[in-house]
Amino acid sequence: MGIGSNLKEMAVPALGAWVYPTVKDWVNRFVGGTGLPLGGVDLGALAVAVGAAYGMDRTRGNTRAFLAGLGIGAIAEIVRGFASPSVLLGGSKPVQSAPIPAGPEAEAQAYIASLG
Amino acid sequence: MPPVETTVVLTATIPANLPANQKVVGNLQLDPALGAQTQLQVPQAESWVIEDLYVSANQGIDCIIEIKKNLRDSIARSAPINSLLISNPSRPRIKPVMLARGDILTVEVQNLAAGGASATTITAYLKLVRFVR
Repeated sequence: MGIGSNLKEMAVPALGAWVYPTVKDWVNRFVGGTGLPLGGVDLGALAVAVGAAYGMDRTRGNTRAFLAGLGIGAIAEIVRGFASPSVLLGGSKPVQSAPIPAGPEAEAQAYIASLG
Repeated sequence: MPPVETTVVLTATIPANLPANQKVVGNLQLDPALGAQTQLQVPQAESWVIEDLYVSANQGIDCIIEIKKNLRDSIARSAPINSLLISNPSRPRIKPVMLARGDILTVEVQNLAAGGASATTITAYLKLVRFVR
């Protein structure tokens, strides 16, 4: 067991943990909302976590480590969804609020500024 | 809606024998149909900018006009009004000021000389630009 082996043991679960949120972000960005939230639970993340746990029962070595990371990443995403529902619905992008229309006050201030 | 330029007529009566440097409340007339009022309130859908203050002729008693917001905040103060003849292109200008929706506009007029044997009315004009939603 050298340092390289330890790094590899750490890298494989980390890769697994990185996969779910990243893929979700990409899909959100290029396709639109993927969220299938139910009562605040990201169903995609839940399915991945259950699938990873199921897969870990049947695999060994790097595959098992990768699945462990994948499960942790998915559970972290569920927790993140509870912390911020907007993240759950829109990946890592915050929900954008509607632009505030320029009202008479803003116009008046701009007018004063234009007077110099 | 584009801004609407309006002229507010400001009048104030300096009572007879009033000592110099007293303040009297000015009357403001936004529209002849509304008559003169001591207070004007900015409607909820509007913002106002007071851009200019001038007189069309020399006034019997020179005065300074103080523009107030919400009955307490002084937001602009004019030069002596007899130096604000509209025919004078280099007359001193007031600092443009904004009144937001719901704000109350009032003016106070301070006479720089004592009132005469009879009351004197001074008339000045405020150029108001109204921004309407």
